[in-house]
Amino acid sequence: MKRRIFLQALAASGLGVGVIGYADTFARALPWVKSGATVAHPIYGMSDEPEWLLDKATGKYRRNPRYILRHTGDLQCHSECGLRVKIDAGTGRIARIIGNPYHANTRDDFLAYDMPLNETARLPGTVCARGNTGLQTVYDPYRITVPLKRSGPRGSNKWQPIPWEQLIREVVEGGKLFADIDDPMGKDVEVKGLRTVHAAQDQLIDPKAPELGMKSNRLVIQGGRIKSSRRAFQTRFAHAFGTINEYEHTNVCEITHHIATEMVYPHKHVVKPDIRKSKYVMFWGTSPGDANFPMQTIGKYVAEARTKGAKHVVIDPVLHRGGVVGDYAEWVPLKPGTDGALAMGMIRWIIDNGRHNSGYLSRPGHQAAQAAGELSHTDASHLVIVEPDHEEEGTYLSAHLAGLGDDEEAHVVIAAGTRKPALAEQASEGSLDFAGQVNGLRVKTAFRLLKESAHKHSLEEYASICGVHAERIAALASEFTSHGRKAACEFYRGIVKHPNGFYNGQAVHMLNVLIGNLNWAGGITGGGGSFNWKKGRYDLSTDIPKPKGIHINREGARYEDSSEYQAKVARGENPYPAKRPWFPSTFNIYSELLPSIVEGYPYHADILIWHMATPFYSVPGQHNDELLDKVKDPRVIPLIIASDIVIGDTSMYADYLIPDTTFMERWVQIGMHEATMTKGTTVRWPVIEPLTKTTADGRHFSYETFLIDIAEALKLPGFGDNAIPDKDGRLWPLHSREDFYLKATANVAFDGDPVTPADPEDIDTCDLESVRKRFDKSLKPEEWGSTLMVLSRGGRFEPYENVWHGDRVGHPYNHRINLYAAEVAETRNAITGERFPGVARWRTPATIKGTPLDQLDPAAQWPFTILTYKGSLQTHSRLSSNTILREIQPENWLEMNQDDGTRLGLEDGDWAWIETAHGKRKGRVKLRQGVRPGVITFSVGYGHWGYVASHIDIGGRRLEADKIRSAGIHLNPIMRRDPDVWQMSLIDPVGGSAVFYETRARITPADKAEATA
Amino acid sequence: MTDIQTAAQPLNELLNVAHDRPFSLLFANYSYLVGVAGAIFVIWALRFLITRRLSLSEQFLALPLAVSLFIPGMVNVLLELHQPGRILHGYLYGWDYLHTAFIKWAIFLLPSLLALIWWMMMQSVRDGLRQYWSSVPAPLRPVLELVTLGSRHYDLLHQTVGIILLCLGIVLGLFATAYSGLFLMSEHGIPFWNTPLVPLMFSLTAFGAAAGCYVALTPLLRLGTDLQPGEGCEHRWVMLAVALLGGLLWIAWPWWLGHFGTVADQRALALLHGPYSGSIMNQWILPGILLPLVLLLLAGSLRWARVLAGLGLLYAAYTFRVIVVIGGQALQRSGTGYLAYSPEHAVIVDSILNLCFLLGWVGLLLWLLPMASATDKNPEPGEPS
Repeated sequence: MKRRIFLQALAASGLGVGVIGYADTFARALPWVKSGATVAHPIYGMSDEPEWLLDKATGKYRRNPRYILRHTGDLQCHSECGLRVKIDAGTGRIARIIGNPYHANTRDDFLAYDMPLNETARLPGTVCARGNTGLQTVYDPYRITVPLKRSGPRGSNKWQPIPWEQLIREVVEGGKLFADIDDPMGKDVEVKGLRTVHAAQDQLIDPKAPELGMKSNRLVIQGGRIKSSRRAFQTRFAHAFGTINEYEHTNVCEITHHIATEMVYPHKHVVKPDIRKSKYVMFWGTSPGDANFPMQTIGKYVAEARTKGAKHVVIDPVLHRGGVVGDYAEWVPLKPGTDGALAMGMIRWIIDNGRHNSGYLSRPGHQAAQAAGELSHTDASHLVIVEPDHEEEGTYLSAHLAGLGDDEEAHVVIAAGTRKPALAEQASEGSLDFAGQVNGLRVKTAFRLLKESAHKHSLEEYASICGVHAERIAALASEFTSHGRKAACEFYRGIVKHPNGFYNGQAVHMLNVLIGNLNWAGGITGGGGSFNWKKGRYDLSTDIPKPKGIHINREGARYEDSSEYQAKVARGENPYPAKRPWFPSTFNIYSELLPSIVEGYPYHADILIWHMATPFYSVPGQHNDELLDKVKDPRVIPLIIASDIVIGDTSMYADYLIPDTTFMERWVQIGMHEATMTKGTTVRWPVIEPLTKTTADGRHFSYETFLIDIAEALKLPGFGDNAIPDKDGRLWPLHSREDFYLKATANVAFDGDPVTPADPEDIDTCDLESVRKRFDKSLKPEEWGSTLMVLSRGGRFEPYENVWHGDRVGHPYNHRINLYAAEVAETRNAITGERFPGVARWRTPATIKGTPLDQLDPAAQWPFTILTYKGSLQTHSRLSSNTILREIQPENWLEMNQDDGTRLGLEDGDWAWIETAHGKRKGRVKLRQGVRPGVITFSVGYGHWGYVASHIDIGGRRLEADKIRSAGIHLNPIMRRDPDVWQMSLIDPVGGSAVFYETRARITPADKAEATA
Repeated sequence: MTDIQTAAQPLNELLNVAHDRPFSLLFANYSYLVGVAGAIFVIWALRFLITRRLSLSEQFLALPLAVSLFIPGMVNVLLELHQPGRILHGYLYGWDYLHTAFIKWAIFLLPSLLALIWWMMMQSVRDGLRQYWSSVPAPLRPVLELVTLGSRHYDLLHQTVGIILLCLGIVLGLFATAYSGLFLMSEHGIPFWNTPLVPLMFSLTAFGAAAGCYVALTPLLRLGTDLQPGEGCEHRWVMLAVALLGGLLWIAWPWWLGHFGTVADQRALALLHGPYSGSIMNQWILPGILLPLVLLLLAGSLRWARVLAGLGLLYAAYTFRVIVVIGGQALQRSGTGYLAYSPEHAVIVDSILNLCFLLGWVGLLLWLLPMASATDKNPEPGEPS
């Protein structure tokens, strides 16, 4: 070829390819006049302008007209922090998220409720990294905005967008919904629609077991993090529909914490230390700055307390971020799951050394306590029947049984002065350490039962069990009891997600009870409570009768009351074991839903709805082929509907996907967490226009819109016209979510003394007039001013000055504290028939049948125990889209002790296999000293397979997998299941928690080929 | 264990999730192409100032080559930018507060250098332009006048003004070789970049690659023409100097980091000595230092040895930039480890397009520029012709 021709060809091809290839780039570059406008600011360029503008003449701030500011509640974790959201007034998009300075979570000295918004310009609140990155959850490019119907077999991740009307029609009417797709298992299944299932509400599931209830119970709603008024909305629908089966996630979270707390502090699920005024706080199974309620707030409180000389101790096998060591801080790395042994050892030492507050404990009633200057009273001196085989064994001795009258409820004590039985409420002081007979019955005081329980082991035995020296146990007990009432124990998931979780929690509560710190500044608080959103201006607790029946997960019911039990007894059979456990003392047993539905015990389900639910990701051991195969089979569960913001790890197995709103686009009214000690209600509301598309009448697609449209299609009570009564008896419609939640907000605004109507300037700053105009008919005209005030502040909060009253907390808890859990003592393990004890104790972690876990998976073969934790940068599955967080910590690790790693020949960053009885996973190890030897821990939130971590096909268009979302390792799928109950996680039979911290494992280094695979 | 000792521990490799990292391979492409173009021009200008000769193939072909590298190099900037229009606006209308950011100077200086090289290129072929003018169709002549900047009408290259512009061009050319390194150096949060060694090394390696172009590429571009072959011995010393200095600086860098560095610098050192050590040896030290040193010291008088050394320097100047650009962003400020990197599909495609675009410009310029030998003015007595 001649040079000239060659050069011509080279020029033509090279420039041609280049120009065509770069066409888009050049096209973007060409409109330079438009996109190259002069920068907005000489220093900050085109950065966002500040939301406030300073008027130099007056020195006052005013809203920058380019932005509106709105206050709402966070849901990047369950801390429910108040948020200030900066929204571009032109585009309606969120520009920035910071803390709401009126909210106790996000500003320690939160601002006065009536302080005008423009005076808060230089007084911002703070939120954590997760709070700041919340806009990445909202603007996740993979958000679902229209309904999807699967176009392949369940779990194939093939979807077809469908109209909203088609979604409603098909799930209501049922039929052969998947006859036209390639689904061999499902194409011939005749799906019962919601109409058919609802219509069966007068037909018994099993005439031989009428207690199971009606066939409408075969609709099961498995909710995730759905709280307070949103939960009430879901419950409203479920009850109107006729199903008892609607749940949230709590047993994979911390239900045992709630149950242990409720048994000690009736009507309370959470009590917290008054950290800021405490001198000594013990954190059991958690540490400041890691997941808790509220996470960042507790971290800040601890930091503040330490500056005042307080000490905090972290009792946990793993030293997390907040668990600093040094002056004013201590780490006690005990063996996993042995918190109960350490606490009981401390209890023993405290009682043996007379360090308990006997003066406080001996006050048997409210009046006696008040007379003695106490702020609470306990059942420590109350008598409990211990007569073997007596039908009332394990219950409190009543006045009737004691021969003190006819009252069968009143408790009895041995009066300290007369040494004779007396009514607890009338005695000024009761004997604490009593065992004897009353009216022919053997009885002991609750304190005596606790003392005997503590004495079942010596201090050395407790030390051996928990791996903490006896001297250190004594030192901890001594120090804890050296600060009067200004010491407190705090606990969270770490100690209760064990088979013995209830008793671990109860034992730690006992430490607080023994020093009598409730209601004292620096002690324990029940929190400030909340404003009533249910009633007031409108009655949102409309009395739709609760359907009857046994929950499909058998919570809140005793096996001994069932027809199954009675039939076995009638046949002369041993009624134990039941097929699966029953959970009489607890609720929200989320982990038992899928296996129970599949096994049909006590009955099958026709329709399953998931909302914010991801059991396959969260439930220990549940993401396995055996269960997946069942769930994928439409013949087992004919219809699964999921409501999600993206196609998640679990919702990918649904038949229909309802596009849901994120926390910036939805409502809730939720009370303040106890730790803030403040009365308040956070109002989360749609501060931006939801990204989901709308129905024909302009309502955005959401879970609530779905429930409303179903309810209206089925003409359910409590929905549609004439659904919500106001205080005057007039009935209001419920056609949209605002019809419900705006009224809830009005109730908050008018609870007690109504809040002052919003100032016009505040209304302008938050652009609330547009809200009023849009939803004008949802409230009465006179209610709007105060309601907008609540919206302008992101809720309603009492003054900071109410947190303390002198040396007492501002909001005392006034019920009796129980050392003895009589409700628990009346129940039995449905598998073994064993009666559950009512007093705190050390119990060896075991399967539901009682096999100690150390025998099940011997340490010689399985030398490690897997623990999981929620770090401050991830936690929930939905945060995998927050790439800013992933930039800070792109993946997680198998974190283990440096010495363990060295012994196994592992170095930091090496690949290793972790294997359990249910499988193995490969991950990178991180060696550090802050992990107890024999322990492996990992941060939850990584290692997804859904959430676009794998490919998705929507309408024939393939969405490529996003590596960010699959990064890291997730070990929940290989966590230990109970060998004696099909597909059941190890479980706490009393509190009901699924067990996350008892899986034994072994580690083997991955060879080079495996490491690079 | 102190922080520094902790930092110096082997680093965890983290999955590459940072696909939206600020600088990808495209920045390395940009740094390489513009830097080498600048160095080619500086060598050309110095040689012309010394010899006043344009007729040799090296002198004749160097400027089209520099232009062909420069333009695709700048396209990488557009590719990296989310708002390319803004940078063009900056080029045309300037930028407020020029003193506040280094990049704002480059926005003027680099295009100025390109314009200067273009003009010098047209001046160097002005004899040919005059010779072929009569054969250019009349309608195209105004366009050609514009594109050639009217070079057929005047000869400034041999005037005082031309010499001043040449000197200015040498300064701008030196700036072009170092600019991308200066840009990285100004990133205080990234220890791997925040050192004067980065612009020094970028400049040095650009000259090595430029020498490699003169030795290895211009003979190829000359094929099929009657241009006189240039003598390449002088580039032997340029290449040798680059390899020697590069080696010394490369030894000095870790030494400095090790002895005076902060915790963050220690992490950079751990990256260099740890996960990156294999790449550094294979992709940079061997082709960019050891190979040229051995070849040039042992067989520097042989053409094939010089060509091989030049190719090594051409290759290593690019891989060195990739290591620095990617390595700087790989280090996690939290100390959790470093991010492994695998280029995105789009970046690879863009890089291939860049090469095509480059070759297209080479073809276009060599096709259109008149290949008649330029006239050497005032040759010094005794100079070869």
